[in-house]
Amino acid sequence: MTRLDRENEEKLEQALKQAWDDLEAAYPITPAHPEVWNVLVREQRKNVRRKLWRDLLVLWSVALPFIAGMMLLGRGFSGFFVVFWSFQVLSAGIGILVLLSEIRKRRNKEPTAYE
Amino acid sequence: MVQSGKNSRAGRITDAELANLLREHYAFVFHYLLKITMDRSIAEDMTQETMIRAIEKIDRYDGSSKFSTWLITIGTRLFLDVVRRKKRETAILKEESRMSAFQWETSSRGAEWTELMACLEKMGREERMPIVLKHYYGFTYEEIGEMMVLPAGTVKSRIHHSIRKIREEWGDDDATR
Repeated sequence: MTRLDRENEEKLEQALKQAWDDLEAAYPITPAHPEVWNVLVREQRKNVRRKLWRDLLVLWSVALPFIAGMMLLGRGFSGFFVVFWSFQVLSAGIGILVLLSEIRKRRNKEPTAYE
Repeated sequence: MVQSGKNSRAGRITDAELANLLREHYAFVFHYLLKITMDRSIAEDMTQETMIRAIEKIDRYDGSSKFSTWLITIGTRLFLDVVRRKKRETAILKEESRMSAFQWETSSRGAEWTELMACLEKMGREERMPIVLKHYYGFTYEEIGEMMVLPAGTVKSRIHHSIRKIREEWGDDDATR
């Protein structure tokens, strides 16, 4: 890069900064009153907690009967031996499929996964 | 340029502290999104959305980066989502008409609409974003890559390409003046 190129580069960089500074100055913004923010944060966090509890409740309401059923089947109802193992294989298979689809979905959704 | 950071672990941030932090950074995020979208109403909507997301995800903020950087990352990814969705939904014509509205609004606020601003306006939003991040906020290629979920090399070549494009147009305009 020659000296002239470097000078041009610096000139452009300064002009860009100036243009963006002017833009900021043209659009001043005043954030809402602190109390508004306090209420927003409180309410939003309450919503997040409520959603987490709901998800947990759904998970256990599905998992508990399922686990209990599996335990009953496994406890020596000899006639259910095949059914028991079929369930085990089936649920493992479904689990793997769900996992694979989640991985694929996550890959497609990568730009939104900022956390 | 605001670059204040909070390096404590987010788990210790109380509701009142978080509210205060968000309030402090509101203008910073809005101005960042304004430079990228070049549309006041979209920038305002996305700033509010960024704040909501930040509240929801605050437990995942580990304090390894500045709070402002974390907010910019959220805003950047939200913006990219919107752009990608919009690409499918809206026609280019509509986009162009909104851009002239921005020019009109900026001029009516007493700011000069320079040739450089016109060059920036002509660029795609995804092209504009890395330039703003690099040349206004001073992020490294690696940091920008992390925000945009792109390899640093790709970011570097995109910025290089966009700067060359601006220089050509700006140079042309300079020559004709």
